[in-house]
Amino acid sequence: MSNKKEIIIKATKLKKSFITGDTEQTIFEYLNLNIYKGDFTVIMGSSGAGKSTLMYSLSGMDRPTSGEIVWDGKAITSLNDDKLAIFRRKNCGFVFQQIYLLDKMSLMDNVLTASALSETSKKDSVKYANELFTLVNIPEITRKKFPSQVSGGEAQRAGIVRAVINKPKILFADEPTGALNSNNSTAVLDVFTKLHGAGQSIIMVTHDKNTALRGNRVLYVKDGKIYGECDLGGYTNDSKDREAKLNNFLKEMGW
Amino acid sequence: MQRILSKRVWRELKDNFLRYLALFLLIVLGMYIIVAMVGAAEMIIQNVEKGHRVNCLEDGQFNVFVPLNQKELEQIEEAGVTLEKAFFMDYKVEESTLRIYKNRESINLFSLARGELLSADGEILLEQHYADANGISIGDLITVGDREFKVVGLGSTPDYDAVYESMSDSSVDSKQFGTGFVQEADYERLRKEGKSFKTEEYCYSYLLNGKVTRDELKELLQSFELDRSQVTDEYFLEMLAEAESTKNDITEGIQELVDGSKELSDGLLEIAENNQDLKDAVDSLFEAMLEETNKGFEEAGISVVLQEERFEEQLDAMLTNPGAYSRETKQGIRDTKESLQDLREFQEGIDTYTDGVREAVNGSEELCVGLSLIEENNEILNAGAEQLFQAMLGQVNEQLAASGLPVVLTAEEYEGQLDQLIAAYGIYNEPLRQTLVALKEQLGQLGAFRDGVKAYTDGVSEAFWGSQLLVCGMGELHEAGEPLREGTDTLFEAMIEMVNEQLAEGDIEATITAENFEGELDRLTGANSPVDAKLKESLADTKEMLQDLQEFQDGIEEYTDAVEEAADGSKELVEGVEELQEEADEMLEEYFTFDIDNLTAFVSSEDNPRVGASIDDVMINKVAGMVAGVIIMILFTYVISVFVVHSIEQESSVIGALYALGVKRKQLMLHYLVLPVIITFLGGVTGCLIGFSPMGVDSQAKDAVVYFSMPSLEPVYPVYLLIYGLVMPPLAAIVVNYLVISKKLKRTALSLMRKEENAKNIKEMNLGQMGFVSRFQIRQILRELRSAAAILGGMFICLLVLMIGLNCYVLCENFRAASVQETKYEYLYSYKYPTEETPEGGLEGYMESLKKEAFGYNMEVAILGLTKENPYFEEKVTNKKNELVISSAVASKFSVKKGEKLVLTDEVNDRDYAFTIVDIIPYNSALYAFMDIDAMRELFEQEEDYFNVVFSKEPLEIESGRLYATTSKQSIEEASEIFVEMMWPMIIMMTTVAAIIFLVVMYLMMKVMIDRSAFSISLMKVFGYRKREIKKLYLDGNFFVVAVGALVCLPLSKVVMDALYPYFISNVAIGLDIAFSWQMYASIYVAIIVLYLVINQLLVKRLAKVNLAEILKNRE
Repeated sequence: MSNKKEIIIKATKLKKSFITGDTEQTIFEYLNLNIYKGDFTVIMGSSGAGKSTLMYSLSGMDRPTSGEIVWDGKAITSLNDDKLAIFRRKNCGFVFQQIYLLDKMSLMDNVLTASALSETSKKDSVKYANELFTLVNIPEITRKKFPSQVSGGEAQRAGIVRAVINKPKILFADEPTGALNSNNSTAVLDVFTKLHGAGQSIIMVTHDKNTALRGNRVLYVKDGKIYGECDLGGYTNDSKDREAKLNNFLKEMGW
Repeated sequence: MQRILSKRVWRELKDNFLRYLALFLLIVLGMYIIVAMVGAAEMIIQNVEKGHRVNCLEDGQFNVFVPLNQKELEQIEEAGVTLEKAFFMDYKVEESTLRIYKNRESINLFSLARGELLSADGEILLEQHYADANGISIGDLITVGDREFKVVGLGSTPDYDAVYESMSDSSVDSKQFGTGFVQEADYERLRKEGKSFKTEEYCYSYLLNGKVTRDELKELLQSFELDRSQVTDEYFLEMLAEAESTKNDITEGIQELVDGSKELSDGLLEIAENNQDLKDAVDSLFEAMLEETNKGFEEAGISVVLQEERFEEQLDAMLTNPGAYSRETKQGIRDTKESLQDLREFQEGIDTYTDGVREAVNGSEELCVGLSLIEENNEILNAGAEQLFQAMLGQVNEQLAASGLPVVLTAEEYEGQLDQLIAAYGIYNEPLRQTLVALKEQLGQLGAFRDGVKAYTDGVSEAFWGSQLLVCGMGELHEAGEPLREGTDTLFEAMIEMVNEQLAEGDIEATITAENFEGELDRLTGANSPVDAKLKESLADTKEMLQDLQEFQDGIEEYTDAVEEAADGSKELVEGVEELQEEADEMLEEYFTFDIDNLTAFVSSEDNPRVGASIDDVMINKVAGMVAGVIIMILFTYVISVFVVHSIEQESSVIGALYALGVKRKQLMLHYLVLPVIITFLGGVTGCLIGFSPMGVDSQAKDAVVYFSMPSLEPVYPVYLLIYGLVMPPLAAIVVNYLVISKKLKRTALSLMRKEENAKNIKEMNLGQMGFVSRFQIRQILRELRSAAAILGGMFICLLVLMIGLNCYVLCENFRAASVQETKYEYLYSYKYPTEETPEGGLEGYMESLKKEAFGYNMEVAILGLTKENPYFEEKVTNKKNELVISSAVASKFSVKKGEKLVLTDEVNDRDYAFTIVDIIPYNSALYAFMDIDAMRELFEQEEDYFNVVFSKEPLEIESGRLYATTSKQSIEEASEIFVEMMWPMIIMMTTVAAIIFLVVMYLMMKVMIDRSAFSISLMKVFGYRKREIKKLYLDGNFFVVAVGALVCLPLSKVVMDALYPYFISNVAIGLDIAFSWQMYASIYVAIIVLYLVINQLLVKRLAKVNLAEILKNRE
């Protein structure tokens, strides 16, 4: 949208399809997309539109059937598994709807699992993790608990800490509040807003308007394409204009 | 609902087809091996037992020095026993030994496997393995002695199931030894030609027919004395003569004692009988002299009549009246002459008599000294017998106490006490009753022995005291004899003097002496005699003479009393000695039977290591196989249960939803049991089918068929094994899976739907400053404990299987090495008829074979008596009769330690020997124990220079007829190699099976670990973990499980198998040296790690296959 922004990801002619039996199901095709540094990009769309598939393709978690994805001038679609793993390690952070913390490991250990392979020393990692835990309002005592011993919101906030521990270029979030109640959702979204405020690029998939309002750029996926795009501007507490703008946009998109 | 669930079963099977296929194949393999092993064992057992019935297996056999005579045979037949000669001769055929028998007619019949039975002279039947090993076929000609025989049939006989040359052999070597059967006429011809290299053995096989017991038959056989006229073997006769000389010495000695005492008694009795005559004679003499004197008085006109009681007084009165009588000297001298003649005769008789008595005294003194020596041993004998009895009583009391019977038996009343116990407890407890009866019998026998010894020693005591009395009597007799002699001498001299004085007083020139008194007195009393009588002097002399005579009479009285006393003593002596003889006879009968009865060996078929050896060998397979089958199936079904648990965890929310929809837990349990049951059932059926096929049973039986000589095996299909094969696997699956998964299904619907983690399972582990990877690995292990347990369980079971094979290998290899290392002599000659002198170049030894039971088998222990300078054995033996140095083979076989007692049994003579073990020396190739040869000779009552084995470095020139066997070091080495050769296929199979099970179980379990962690692996991939980093986290942790598990399981499985192994080889008469070298442990450990690494490498591919998008699939 804005040519002045630095492009982090450039996707060209992306195609993703699945073969089920004899039938090929195309999720998206000839999809072109740029992701800009510092943006909080929200991908919306109806169920089954391919929002998550698009996001995972962009993150290098999934391989597109065809097309090219270029990160900072480097195509990741041609990387082998190991190189792609290193790429993800260095550039991506992930937050999932189901959180996916490892059981029988404390929240802190879960976070350190992601940082274990980074070049940062363990001491620095722990220090940074603690800063992040503080940032997401998880007290010290909770950091030592196991995932099953904390609330969903705490777990998801720990998940966010795990996602950003390696200081990724982009934080990918797939319906991060989908499994949370209202209070927990807000707390989690606040964390995202804080991170974005601190300069973290974020791509988030959601079908929740309130969640989408946290972003500054909303993409709508429909019929296997980026059907529309809306620039909401920076997030503020009083955001009635932004909300109206989003509502109008979504209405246009057929939401 | 069930139908829907069933569809899920098929889907599960389809989705994890390879996993279940692997498990199915594992079950097939396991059941195949078990069914084949047990089926083969059952086939062998049933066929061999059938062969025993069809071919009339003996109840036992016995050997004799000389063939039984017609009367003895009739006696045995009358007892209801069926007997058949099984005489044999050993021949050298090429390099092997062929034992030739006459073809059997009623017992131990030849079971034909190939060819046909004998129909004509010149034909021979051969034991099948011997023929095969030596390349002999039907129709071939073989030379036995100088005769050629045509081989017409090959087969087996039930008395040579294990074709051991000697019953003490530990392995069969068909190349070296076999049996052959010829027509009776051919056997006779061979015997007459005498070309066998050993003398003919007289062996009889018997069937008891339920008419008598073995003991009764043995007793009957022992009652048969050796008919020496039947003995033709010169060496045997020589040995017999030597052996009998010992006994003869004893019996002759006792006989002489008896004869001597009888003679002594007869003599003394005769003396006693003569005493009255002697007394009467002396009385008559006195009376005659009195009468003569009175007669002289009467003739001289003297009115005095001398009386016996007061003649002195009367004569004194006459002497004090000198002028009252006329002198009639002539008549007085004549009377005196007659008196002197009588006295002279008497004196000679007394001389003879006293000389005889002196000799008797000397003899009785010697007798007394001899008997006192016997007497000295009485105390020891009695104490020994009493001690033995008391020891037995103590042991019985301990047994009773251990059985909870509230009685303490006493030496005096034990019989009554035991009767009461039998009456009280025996009615409802038959085993206890039998035990009590046996104890009573044992005590009774020992009591009888004690009483026998007591009776013997009482007899000796009586003889001793009799002889003492005799000596006392004889001493008195002797003392009385001297005054008697002196008295008679004095009397005689006095009479001579008196006469001479009378002659002198009458101025007659004549002197009477002892030599001339008869002639002189005749001359003086003749018609022309000038002698004049002086009455007074004559009366005085007569008085003196009568006084002397009375003194003499008293002496005789005393003398004869002493003789009577001596006679009484001698009677007692005779009785005592007779009793001594009786008891000594009994003792000789008991302890010197070896050289008087004809029996040399008596072996029941149960104790015969050649009979039913194949059954003994496979019996353990049957029991162990079935137990092992259950254990293996528990492992496999546990592995399946791990998959089921994995499925339940994966489908947790579905299960929760089903619960919510009203599906019962029981239905779900059935659903999750269906697949394990189907897999195990199909696996069991398939395994069973293959197991019962020729690939299974026949293949498993092959080793036994090749080693043992048994009838052709017909297939058997035992119902219990079919049920076992078809029912046990699914049953194990049901039980194991039910126990494992029921807990998983007990959670609430909501809990299952939410996939809630059981809070109890979450444990904080303080892993300190441990690195991230290590912490992760430990947590991963904890997360996968169930699979880790299955891996370790599998490893343990596989190691047990491996240990069966490796223990066997080590045992065989150690036995081979020990046989080479421990056999330091080149030749060992075992004598049947030993010579007096040790052959030049040889070193004497003494060997006795005694028996001891171990693990249900009656094993033979050879006691070797060694000379001090024996270089072939370096054992330091003591010179005590009750001390043994035992080989490590004996120690391990009978589980005895230094300082303990070892009781060995001489079964032929029904005698037990208790030894104290003073040392255990490393010697594993045979069940040997060692003693000093002199102590051993003394213990087994052999002569001081006796020997029956000779060791040498070089071959010796010894007549073959004298020998039982010649054993060379080379033959021992060859025989020892057979073990390794024979067991090699089994060792390979066990090792392979262990490796396969280990590989499959480890692969499946590690794979399921990956499957269970697929999501987190995927997540880690999302975080940017590469293949090798994920491998490190999820696979390499198992390395520690396997490495540490192997460190524990390896020694543990070795300990368990070592404890079980003695039962596996309970019928093998060698030591149990199954110690592994450290290199062996290291090799097994390395092999485990290598197998792990192989699996690890295979699973790395699996890790790579875990899709990164797994995480996407799990999105709700």
